[in-house]
Amino acid sequence: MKKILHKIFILFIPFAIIIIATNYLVDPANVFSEDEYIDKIANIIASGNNADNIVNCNERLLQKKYLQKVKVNNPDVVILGSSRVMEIGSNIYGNKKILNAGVSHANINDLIALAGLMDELKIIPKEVVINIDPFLICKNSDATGEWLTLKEYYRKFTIAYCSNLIKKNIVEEEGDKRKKYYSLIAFDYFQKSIEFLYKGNTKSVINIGKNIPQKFGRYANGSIAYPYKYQHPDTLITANVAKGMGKLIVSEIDNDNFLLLKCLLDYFKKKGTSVTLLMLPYHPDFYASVNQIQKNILITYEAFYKNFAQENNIEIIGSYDAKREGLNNVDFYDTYHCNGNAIKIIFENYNKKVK
Amino acid sequence: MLFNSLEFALFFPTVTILFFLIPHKFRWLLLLLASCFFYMFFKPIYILILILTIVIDYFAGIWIAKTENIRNRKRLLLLSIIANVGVLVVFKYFNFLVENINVVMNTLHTTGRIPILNIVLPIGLSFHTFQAMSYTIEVYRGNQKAEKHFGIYALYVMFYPQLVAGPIERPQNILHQFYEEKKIKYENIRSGLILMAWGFFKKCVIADRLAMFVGNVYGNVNEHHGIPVIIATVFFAVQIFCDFSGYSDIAIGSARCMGFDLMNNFDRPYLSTSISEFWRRWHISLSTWFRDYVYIPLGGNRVNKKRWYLNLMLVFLLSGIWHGANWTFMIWGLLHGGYLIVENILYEKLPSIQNPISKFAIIIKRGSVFFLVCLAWVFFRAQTTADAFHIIKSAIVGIPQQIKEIFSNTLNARLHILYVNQSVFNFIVAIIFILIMTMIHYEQKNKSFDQWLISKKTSTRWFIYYLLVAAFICFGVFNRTDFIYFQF
Repeated sequence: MKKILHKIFILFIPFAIIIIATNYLVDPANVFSEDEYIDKIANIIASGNNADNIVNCNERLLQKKYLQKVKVNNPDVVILGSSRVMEIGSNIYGNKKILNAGVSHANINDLIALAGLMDELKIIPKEVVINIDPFLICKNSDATGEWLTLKEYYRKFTIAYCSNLIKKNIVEEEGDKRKKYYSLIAFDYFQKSIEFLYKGNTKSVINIGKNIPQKFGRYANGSIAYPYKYQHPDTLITANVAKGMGKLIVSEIDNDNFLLLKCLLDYFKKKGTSVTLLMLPYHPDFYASVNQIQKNILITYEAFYKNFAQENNIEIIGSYDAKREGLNNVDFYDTYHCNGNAIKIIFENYNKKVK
Repeated sequence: MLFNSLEFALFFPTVTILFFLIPHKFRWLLLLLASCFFYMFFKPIYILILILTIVIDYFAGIWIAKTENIRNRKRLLLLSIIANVGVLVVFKYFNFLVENINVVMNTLHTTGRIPILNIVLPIGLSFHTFQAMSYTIEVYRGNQKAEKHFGIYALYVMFYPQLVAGPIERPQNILHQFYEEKKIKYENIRSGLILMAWGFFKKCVIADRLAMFVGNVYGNVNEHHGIPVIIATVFFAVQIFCDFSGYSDIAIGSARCMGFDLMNNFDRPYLSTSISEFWRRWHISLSTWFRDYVYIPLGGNRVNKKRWYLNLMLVFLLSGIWHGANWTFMIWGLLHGGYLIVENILYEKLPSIQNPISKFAIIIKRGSVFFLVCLAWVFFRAQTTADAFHIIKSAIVGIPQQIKEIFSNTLNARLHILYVNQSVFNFIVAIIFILIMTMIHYEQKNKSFDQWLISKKTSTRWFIYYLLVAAFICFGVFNRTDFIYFQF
């Protein structure tokens, strides 16, 4: 038995040491240094500068720290939504005071939580732009559970403003600590760490003042900056991927989620904030593929939101259909994200229509 | 419980250490409880089905052994087989039968449809049912004494390493081992751990990586033609081998650590130079099961030729049906039956090709066998027969144009055609590890992997240990994918 244990020890201990040390020191997803890392980013952008070289940060936590530190109580515009709107900033709104509070994979719980956070911080915008997607209110939209980072604000907001709605059972994330320890020994995290090192990435966030970020960065208004390579993809590859992604199941509307959205809109109405709903297009190949496979589900969602906006006298901009906005494949970074120029065109189209 | 899970990484050493710590007389109980826990990790309720078949076959065995009248013995055996097959029919084939009856009724424009059952197939049902059946058959034949100890018999069916995907054991090989007092042996643990490491390497590093390529093509059959289809089919052949033989190696290895010897299930099948040899090397425990309990009782090859060929087709049709309730599996089985018949006719007409001497001829034969096996795998992997025929037809479409596109040097062309929409990294890693595995297979000669590795000098052996672990850690795919054969 001793001989076996001795040999197992000799075989595995070097690997264990290498894995634990690499995972802890490289820590590509900032599992072990999250607070410190996000503080650094929040400090830079809240002070009015731009930050560059941001990798894998918890965007909910960043929003929390950023909004707590930034001293803009009455912004002209607040943007809420998923990564699809995270590029909206001064490129669309010029010199207006804008706060972009978009977070990746946003669902209605995220939006409620962010509204709760702003409510606590007494941030009352003149206008709020809400990105509306099927994924915002569809069934299982909260599957990733990322919104739980801001669960305390979700809870406060629903208690204060949506008390008539069914309370969602918020699962207390006991798993957070376990996840941390598991990341220390996880092989897939080790692979990510090696990849991170191989690509020459570093985790040092750079304060670039008023300059434009060159890598993944953040502007002082919270909006995101993408690196050149991401902004200039191979359109054929993007089209292929988008077509493949077309098999993604888009679930039906979840009534509870829809009621939460209504509650959010009522809240802004009460606060005197004007609301604009924004529908950004999907890559044309994805749009065609999803509609073909799932019986025009994106068309149905769009009609649903448009009817709802009309009935409630809410402004609504854009469409999921790129063609309708005069956009095509070259206007997309990837399946879900049209580029900044495309967003500009969508707003211009709308302004022309209004005029 | 999946072998490739964190739970198993805790379960296996715990059970193995406890096994050696507790007195011999309680070990069967520990293994039985551990096996129940292992099985119930998937879906607890299905243990009831297992218990039902265990109870039926336990008593059937005892009654068969007690009964001297041959007719009654036969009746008892038949009852036990009907009970086992009945469970299989209800859970595995009922919906398939009903769907087909409904199609016929639809065609005949008759009213009324038989409703299908809303049930999930219990994991590994075909494996443990066949293992249970082999017990009653062997008791009937007088090759095995009826097991009086209910716990030991239950352990024979439920022994966790081979419970959900084999090897399908014979009572003569394993039952007596549960009575033997196992001692900790360095050699057993070393060879067991080597086999497990090899199994994990095949499953996590090769099979699960190839699954991404295969799924991409076989999940979207209308979107691919030519080279990607060929690559995906060849990759599937490797994937299913690595997945299933990887499982078998982990099963055999984990049992060996405790001192139990399970039968070998794979012997480098893609090095076969004939289809008959392929079936002596592929899923050995199932092919010998069909040989011993179906083929030979039907008369085997000791009948006239027509009947022999019929026997072959019948056995392979049953083998196809065993794999799943779908026409695709039946066609897969029939294809292999057909291959064997054609091979036999060829050997009769051209006896010189049966045992080629030149290396070139051997390579050609191996290539031909691999091609035929891949062709049959298309049916095995495709969702429907229509998909399978579509894949075969589309595999030869547009290849010259695709070759031109690959050499036109656009990343998109290579990404779509050669890398089947996966990353270049994934493709290169897959190819490198397939080549490494193939080289090791050639090197092994007639030894099993553990014997081959142990025969190396210490420095080489340790170098390979470190390489295996490093490859597993750095290139393993850790998304807890099920083993393909769990569905059977």
